Amino acid sequence: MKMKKLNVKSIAVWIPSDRVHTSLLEMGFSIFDTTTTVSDGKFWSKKLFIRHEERVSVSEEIGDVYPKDPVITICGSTNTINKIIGALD
Amino acid sequence: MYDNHKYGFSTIPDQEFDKYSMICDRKCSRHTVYTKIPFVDEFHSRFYSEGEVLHYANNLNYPKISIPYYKVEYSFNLWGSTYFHTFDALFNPNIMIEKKELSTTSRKTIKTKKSGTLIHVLKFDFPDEKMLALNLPNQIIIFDIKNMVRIFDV
Repeated sequence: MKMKKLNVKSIAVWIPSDRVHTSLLEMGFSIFDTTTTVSDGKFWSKKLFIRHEERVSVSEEIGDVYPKDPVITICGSTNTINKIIGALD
Repeated sequence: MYDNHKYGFSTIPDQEFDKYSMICDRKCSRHTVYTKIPFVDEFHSRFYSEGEVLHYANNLNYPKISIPYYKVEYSFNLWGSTYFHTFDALFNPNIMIEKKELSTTSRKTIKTKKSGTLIHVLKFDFPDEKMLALNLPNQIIIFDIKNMVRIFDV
């Protein structure tokens, strides 16, 4: 099977992470796992979604933080990147 | 892998603490943490009884139970300079009920036995390698930098 050409795009969005998760599941991604990471003293909840060779991680800072702006990092085809960004507009 | 008391139950955010709420309780972040029920910490081979303090509010640097973690470090060479991206990935708690043979003389336990007592057991699962990976394409990466915080004179 021919490998798709993958690009990377990372964006922060002003919508709840639940909506991002729903959009990804509707696009055929499945949740691989969730883990908590700590960087510069800040705690993040990171969810990884996988569809074939494409991967999308959604990280959201946890704790007393407002507003919530999840960071979405997409490693996928140009078409997938455009679809995800379009779905979150 | 590190297990050096860097992360304890009192100092983690509520969302992370909720994963442990079956076995322990606290008023809010940075308050003393008590056990709600007896349980075995299988990772450190220790038994805790009900009402025992797991993390004192006045001794935040030394929790009794330390949450293990992976320290992940990536380094990038870019135009002759090296940049680092580091983060810690906490192990995920996995709480279940098992039969254990508890020693009455020693707080160090714990053998799994068919004739033992049913008790809650705290295990820690390490995060999957895929969760630690940076997914980068093989081809040339173009950095789209919109906000420059530092400008170097050439």
